[in-house]
Amino acid sequence: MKKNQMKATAITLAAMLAAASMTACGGGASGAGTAGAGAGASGAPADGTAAAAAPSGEVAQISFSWWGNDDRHQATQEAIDAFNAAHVGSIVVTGEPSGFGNLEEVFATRYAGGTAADVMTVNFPWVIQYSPNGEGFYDLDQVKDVFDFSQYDAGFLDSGKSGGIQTVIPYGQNTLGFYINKSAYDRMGITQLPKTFEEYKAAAQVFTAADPNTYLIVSPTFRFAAVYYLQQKTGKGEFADDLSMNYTVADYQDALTWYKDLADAHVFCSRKDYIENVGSEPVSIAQNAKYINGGYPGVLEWTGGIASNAATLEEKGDELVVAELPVIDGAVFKGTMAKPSLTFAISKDSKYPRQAAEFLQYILNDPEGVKLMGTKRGMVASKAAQATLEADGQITGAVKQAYDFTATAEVINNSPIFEDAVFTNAYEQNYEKFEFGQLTAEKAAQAIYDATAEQVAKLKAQYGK
Amino acid sequence: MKNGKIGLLYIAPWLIGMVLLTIYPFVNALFISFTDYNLVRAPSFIGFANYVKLFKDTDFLGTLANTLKYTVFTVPLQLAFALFIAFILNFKLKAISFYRTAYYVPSLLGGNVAVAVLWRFLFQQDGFINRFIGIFGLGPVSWFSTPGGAMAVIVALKVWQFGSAMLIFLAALKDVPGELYEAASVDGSTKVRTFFTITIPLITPTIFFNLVMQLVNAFQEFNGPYLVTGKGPLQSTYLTSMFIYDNAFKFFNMGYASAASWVLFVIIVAVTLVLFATQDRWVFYSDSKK
Amino acid sequence: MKAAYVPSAVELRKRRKDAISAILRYVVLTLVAVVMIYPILWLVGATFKTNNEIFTSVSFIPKRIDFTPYINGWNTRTKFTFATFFMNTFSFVVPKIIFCLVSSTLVAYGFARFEFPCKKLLFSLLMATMFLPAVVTRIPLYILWKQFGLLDTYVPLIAPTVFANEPFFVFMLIQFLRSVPTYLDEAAIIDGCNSFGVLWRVLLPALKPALISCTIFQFVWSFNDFLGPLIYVTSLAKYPVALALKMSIDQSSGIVEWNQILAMSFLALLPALILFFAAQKYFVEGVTSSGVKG
Repeated sequence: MKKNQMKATAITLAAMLAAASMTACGGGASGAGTAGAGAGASGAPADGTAAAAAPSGEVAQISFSWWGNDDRHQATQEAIDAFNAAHVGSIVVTGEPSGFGNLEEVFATRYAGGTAADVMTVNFPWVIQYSPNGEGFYDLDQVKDVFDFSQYDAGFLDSGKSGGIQTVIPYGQNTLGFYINKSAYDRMGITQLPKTFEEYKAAAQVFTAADPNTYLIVSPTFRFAAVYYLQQKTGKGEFADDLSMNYTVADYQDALTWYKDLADAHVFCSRKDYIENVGSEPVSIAQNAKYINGGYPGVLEWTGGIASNAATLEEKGDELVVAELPVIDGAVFKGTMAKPSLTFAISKDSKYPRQAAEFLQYILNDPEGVKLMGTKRGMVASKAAQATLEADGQITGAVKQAYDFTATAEVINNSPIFEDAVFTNAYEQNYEKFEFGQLTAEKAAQAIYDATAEQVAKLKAQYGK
Repeated sequence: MKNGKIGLLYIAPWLIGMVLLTIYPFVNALFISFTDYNLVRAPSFIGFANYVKLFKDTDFLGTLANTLKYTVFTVPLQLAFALFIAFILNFKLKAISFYRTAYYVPSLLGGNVAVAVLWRFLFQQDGFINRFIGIFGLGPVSWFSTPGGAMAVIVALKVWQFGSAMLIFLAALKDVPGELYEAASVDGSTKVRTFFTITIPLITPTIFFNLVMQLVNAFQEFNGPYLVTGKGPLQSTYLTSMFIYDNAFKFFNMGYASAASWVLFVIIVAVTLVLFATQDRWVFYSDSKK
Repeated sequence: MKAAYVPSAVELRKRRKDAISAILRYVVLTLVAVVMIYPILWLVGATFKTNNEIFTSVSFIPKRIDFTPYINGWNTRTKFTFATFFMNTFSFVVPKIIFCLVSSTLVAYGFARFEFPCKKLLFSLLMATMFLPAVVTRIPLYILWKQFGLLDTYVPLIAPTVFANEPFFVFMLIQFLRSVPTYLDEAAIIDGCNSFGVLWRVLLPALKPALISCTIFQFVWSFNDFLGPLIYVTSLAKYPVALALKMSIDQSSGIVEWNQILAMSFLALLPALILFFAAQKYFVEGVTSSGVKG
């Protein structure tokens, strides 16, 4: 009763307001309205009701949300336009691009508010967050006659499953690898690039003789290196299929001292140096001054980042190459880890899931759509798409190397909970305390273990495992 | 003093809006703070568990200490600077509009990407600041990777953006009748003395206003550290608002985040209440006759 | 022509002292000003630089002058140009300013000059609303606006100003009103003004510097606000400048053309700079010369 009254008042006021704002800024508002690509013509309050009464029409209106930079927007918009042109009278796709800031906040708000797009870009860690049992998004098995899943490696496709349901389509595989600024090594007279951590240590001595602040490999977070090490040491990923932890306190302690030793030897970037020159968050270092200037002549990064990492060096005339994966002493496993870069989902509230799947088929598998989408989202996992891009000459240089690396590297796929920010935070903050001398390796290891265990217990309860 | 109903009429728009746009989401947030809520599943009621956990959470307590430190450093510095510059700008000077604009520029920049990039340059190991203090035989300081240094960087950033406070001071200084200065000058009072004996007492309401506003802003600061230092070494620039943001939108812990913001809210309210209580002693309103 | 006039020794000393203090003032002002505007200079310079130059050089002088970043940045690679984004921004910033000035003045007047029941309590509430970190109310508010069917419009952005629900402005105006002597009101009432007449004829002129400050703040903050539009405005056709700018920055894929972004950031700063430069003239006059007190 009271609520209704409130609502009525508010709507009246809002309508008045909308009218007032239209007159107050005449040209601007209406100009924007007419330019609008299909999103309910002009005024404000009409929007909600219009959308609710729409389904009578023949044309399926679907929206597609993604984030990225201008390059990506341009490519995606071209693909959308081409798709729309080929489906006049049946499907109209509207793009909802956004920038890179506050992604989680926007997605969370829209999802909670029930206003997510029909086809949405979903960060991999959100898959289990929003669809722990496969019920958060549309069940893609329903559209397998429209979307060609056979183009994907079955094991990789599994990473898009929750509770046995194909809840998202992973776009591409991101593999963690070592990349080296070959030109910087050349300048030091090192022609044989290091293959083992011992060789890295030797190279570090050469580099630090010239500039004592050099660190051979910058890892955006201690966790990348730590899990790389622990996978090789134990042969297991960080989490089991039932989300249980695979590493013990002793394992964490080993990882901490292993990394600290290499940081002291200037192989891995020390936390102190990272904070000083990059910042406290794990970010891409492609645009970092120290990296560009050769102060970090190597990176531990996902393959998805290699294009930009290579490009900024190229601008300076330096060359980035994919290095052989170094193996630790007594390794049980000799590879690295992998995860989906980003994924696509169809909203479970979508009125046109089949048309949405048709659109996904177009941008992910269809040669025409794939060519237009290009390589703006990193590497692709669809075999058809890869063949198309390669034939089209869109895969070259460092990116070509990354594809070859992906094809041959032994990997352990990350658990869907891997990217929960709580874990990375625990690794990073406790390693930092250890390096800065606030905690012993033992205490830091215990702290990482405890924080991880607490979050795992919570996630297990949440996801019913 | 005047008819009560008329006063209510004037504040009516605010009253209506407040109920709808503030109190309702406010109360909603309070409710969420007693639940475990990750945005996707329905909130489940867990009583005071979030609050209990908060007061055991060393990260959270650390952010409170950092926020307090940040506030204690920035607010007086920024206000003193803003008032000093506003005072100078209030004289008749040549090219006054250039100066005034120049001083406001940093505040215009706000959270612009250029600020983030440039501040890293200034404070990096071989940056301008280290070269400058090198002249005096000091440093170089590792600004970003020492806890004190990182805090200094974000404090400096905030003080540098003193434009808004300066603008408000300037508007208030314009209010001080020129005759008073003339009278003082005839009496042989120096400019500095005039400033302390005449100007400051006359603009105490504005000082009070700026003080409250800067306090509230400092307690909720997010942009500065977010742009330039992040959490900083050993979480030394990890402020409470960042903690709230992380828990809400990185860790998807809405209940915990809401509880943390209620704690912050209560602290700010308490501090402000204390300030209002001291108001009678040093703030002089020309309309007060009570 | 005044050659015959010989100043006394005392006068000379005073003049010299004045001159020295003036010079000192200018030196201090200029030094501080350089520190203040260096970022803008750097920003302008950087719009002409290549990526590497931007991230590795603190000097603001670019190696070449080339307006391509401006042209490419303006055109964007979406189907809209920055002309659309600027128009969009103005179409909610202008109403915001107007509503804010009107509603905040009325409410501040109510609080500063009238007694009414529960005034103390209501004033405390007004103050309290400033203190809750916005991050928590965001989701409840979003759901509220969704229920009203007003997502992807500018209404959620404008509404708080219609209801004077940006307490900063109300509080600021209250503080200013309180420093305006009440004898002016009383005189006006004796002259036969009603309460609104007092506000309109007497207080408004006195409030001018404060209102100009409000305009500047509201303009700058609304123009730069990023999070509000990000959450409420979903269609690209309605994007304001702040969103369009951030949209171009994505370090995760491909190459960011920083010079284009900085070029557009600079253009985005211009309206505020111009407004500020123009508005300060009214600042200078202030109240003393507006005849209220003179």
